[in-house]
Amino acid sequence: MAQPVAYKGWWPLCGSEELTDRKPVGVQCGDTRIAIYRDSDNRPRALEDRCPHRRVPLSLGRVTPDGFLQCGYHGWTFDGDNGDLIRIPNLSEGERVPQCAIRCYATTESNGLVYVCLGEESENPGAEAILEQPYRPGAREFRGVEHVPVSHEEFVAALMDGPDLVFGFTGVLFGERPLGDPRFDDGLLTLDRIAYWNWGGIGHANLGPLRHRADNPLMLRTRTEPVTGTTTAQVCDNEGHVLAQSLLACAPAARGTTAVRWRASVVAGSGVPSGKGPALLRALTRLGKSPFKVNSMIDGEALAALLPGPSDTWRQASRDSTPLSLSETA
Amino acid sequence: METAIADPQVQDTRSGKSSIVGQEWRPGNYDLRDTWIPVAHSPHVTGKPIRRMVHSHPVFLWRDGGRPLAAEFHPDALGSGQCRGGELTGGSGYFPVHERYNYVWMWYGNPDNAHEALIPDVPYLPRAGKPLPRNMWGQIYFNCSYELVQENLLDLVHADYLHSDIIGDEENDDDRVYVESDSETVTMIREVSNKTIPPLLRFLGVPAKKADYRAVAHVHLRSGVVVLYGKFMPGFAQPLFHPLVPESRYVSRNNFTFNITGASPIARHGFPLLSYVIGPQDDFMMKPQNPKYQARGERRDVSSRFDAADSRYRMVMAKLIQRQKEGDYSYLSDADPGQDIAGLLDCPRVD
Repeated sequence: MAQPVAYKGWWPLCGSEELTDRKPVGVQCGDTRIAIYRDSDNRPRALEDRCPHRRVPLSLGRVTPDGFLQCGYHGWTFDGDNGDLIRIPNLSEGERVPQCAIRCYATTESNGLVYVCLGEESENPGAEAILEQPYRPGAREFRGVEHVPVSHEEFVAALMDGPDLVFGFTGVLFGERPLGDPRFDDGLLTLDRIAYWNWGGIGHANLGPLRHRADNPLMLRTRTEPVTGTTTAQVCDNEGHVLAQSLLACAPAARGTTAVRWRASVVAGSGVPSGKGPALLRALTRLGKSPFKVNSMIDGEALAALLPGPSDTWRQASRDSTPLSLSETA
Repeated sequence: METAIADPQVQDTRSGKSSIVGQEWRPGNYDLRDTWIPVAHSPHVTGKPIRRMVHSHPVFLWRDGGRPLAAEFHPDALGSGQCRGGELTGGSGYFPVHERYNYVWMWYGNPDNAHEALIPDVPYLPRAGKPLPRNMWGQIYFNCSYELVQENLLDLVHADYLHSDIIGDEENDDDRVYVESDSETVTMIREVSNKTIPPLLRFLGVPAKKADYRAVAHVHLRSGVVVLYGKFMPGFAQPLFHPLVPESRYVSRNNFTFNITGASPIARHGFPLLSYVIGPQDDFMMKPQNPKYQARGERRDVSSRFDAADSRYRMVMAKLIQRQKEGDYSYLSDADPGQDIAGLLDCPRVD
C-alpha cells in the first residue's frame, strides 16, 4: 500500500477571488483537508477542515460577522488566528467553553492565489520564498478550476514533456520540439517550445506538414516553480512578444488527482503584434470565449506513450528544492 | 464531560469487524441482535415481493392471504427448495414477523427469542387499523450508519444551526438537556425557554415570535428505533416515529410516520413534508461524518454539556455490544422496550 505523502511548504490552494468573508472554501492538498476563508480584516485564514466535536468538515459551515469560522452542525466557533475554540453559542453566558484548538495554517496571497503553508512551522520557509510569476492579468481575464485524474507529479511532468496533453490556447498548436534545454530564470524552470497558428484546423502539429517547416511563427514559453509546479504559460511571437498567457496553479488533490486553478488573458494594447492570429484571439475574448483551457479528461493512451524529456530536469529540481520538498511519511 | 468509551477492545468474532476498539468509537461495525426492526410501512408490503436490506442481509417481504411474510430469499427461490435458511431464521428461511403501528416488524436474531412484548411502544400511533393519511409517512435515506443518525437526534442543538430556517435559531433565554437511560434505551429531554420562532413555523400555526420548546428523543439502541415528541408552547406538537433500518455501515433507511393532530390543516399537511427538507440537511452533515467514524486512529471527540445524551449513548452501546460479543443477547431486568412511554414523552395515547 502506498504511503501517504506529506506535502510541506507553500502551496497555492485557492484563487483570491474564491474567498469570501461569508462562506469558507474546502480544499485538499494530499491527505490534508483545509477550510479557508477571509476574516473581518479581509485576511485569508486556513484551519484544519474538521470540527473536533463531531468530525464534520468546517468548510460546510460559515464565517461569523466578527470573522470567525463556525461549524454548520452545532455552531462551534474557531479563531482563524490560532485555531482556538472560542464559542459554543448555546452555552449560557459565563459558562466555560472546553479548552480545545485545531490546526491553524499560515497563509499569504501572491499572484492572485492564496498560498497555505503546510508541514511543521520550523521546517518551512517564510512567505518570501514564494516565487513571483511573470503572469500579468489582461483587461479581460478568464478563470477556472479543473480536477485532472492524474497525480500531481505526473501532471507537472506532462506539462513539461507534452503540454498539448494538459492545456491548450485557442488557435494554437504546440510542437514536439523544445527550443533548447530547460533553464532556471529567477528560480523558475523555463522552457521554450515551437508552436503554430491553427485557425484552419490543420491537425496535430507533429504529424502534418508543419513538422518540417523551416521557421515557426510562435513559441510556447512555460515558467514553472520547481516544487508546486505552478506555471505561467505564454504564447509569444518569434521576437518574444507575449500574445496570450495563463497561470496554472496545481496542487495534489484527493484520490491521486490534481486540482488546477487557472486564469488566462489575451494581451492587448500598444506594442502588441498585429496579424490575423492575435486579432482573432482578441476578438474571441471580446465575445466572452476563453482563449485557454485545461484538459480535465487527459488522454491516458497518449500520456502513457509520452517519452521523458525536460521533465527529467524538473524532477531533479523538485527533489533538490529543500525544504520545499515532498517528504515520505509513515 | 467524558465522551470516548473506555471499554476494552471489542471484536466481532462473527464478521471480523470491530465497533469499538480501545478508546475509539466506530459506529456501524456491529450488528446488534434479538430485536424487532420496523423494516417497511405496511402499505408497501403487498402480494408482490419487495426487497429490503437489514445489516447487509437481503430481506424479502410480501403477503400471503393478507399475512405479512419476511424471508431471506425470494418466494420463488424458497419454493424451489434449493435455498437453505441461515442462523437468523432457524434454517427455515423465514424471519418472525409482526404487524403493528402500520409497520411490518421483522425479528433480527434468534427466532426462539422473538416475543411481541419486545416491540417498542409508540404511544401516539394507532397499533392497528387503517394507515394514517399518505402525507404523514414516507421514507428518507441517510448515507451513514444508523448510530450517527441516532446521535444526531440525541443532540438536537444541531437543529438551531442546520435547520434554523425551520425550527428556529439558537436565540433563547435558557437551554437545558436531561438524559435518562437503561441498558437498552437512551432518552434525551431538551427544554428551551423563549426560543425564536421562524416565519415558517408561525405560518404553520405557532402563534408567537417566541415560544418555549420541549423535545424528547427516546432511542432504542438494538432496533434503531427513535420515538420523537416535540412541542412548542404555545403551538402544536410534532409526534414523529423515526425508525432507522440499519441497511449497512454506509446507509440507514428512515421509514418515518408523523401523527400531527390538534393543529391547523396547514400544519397537518405541511409539517410532515418538511422531512424532505430536514432529512437532506442532516445528510449533508452526516454523510461526510461517516468515513471519519469508520477510519481507525481518529482523534477523540471533544464534548460540551449538550453532548450528555450522546456520551451516554456511546456508553450504553459499548456495554450492549460487549454483552452480545460474550453471547448474552438477553434483555436485562431494567429494560422493557414495550413499556408505556406516554408519560416520558408527556403525550396522550391514541389507543
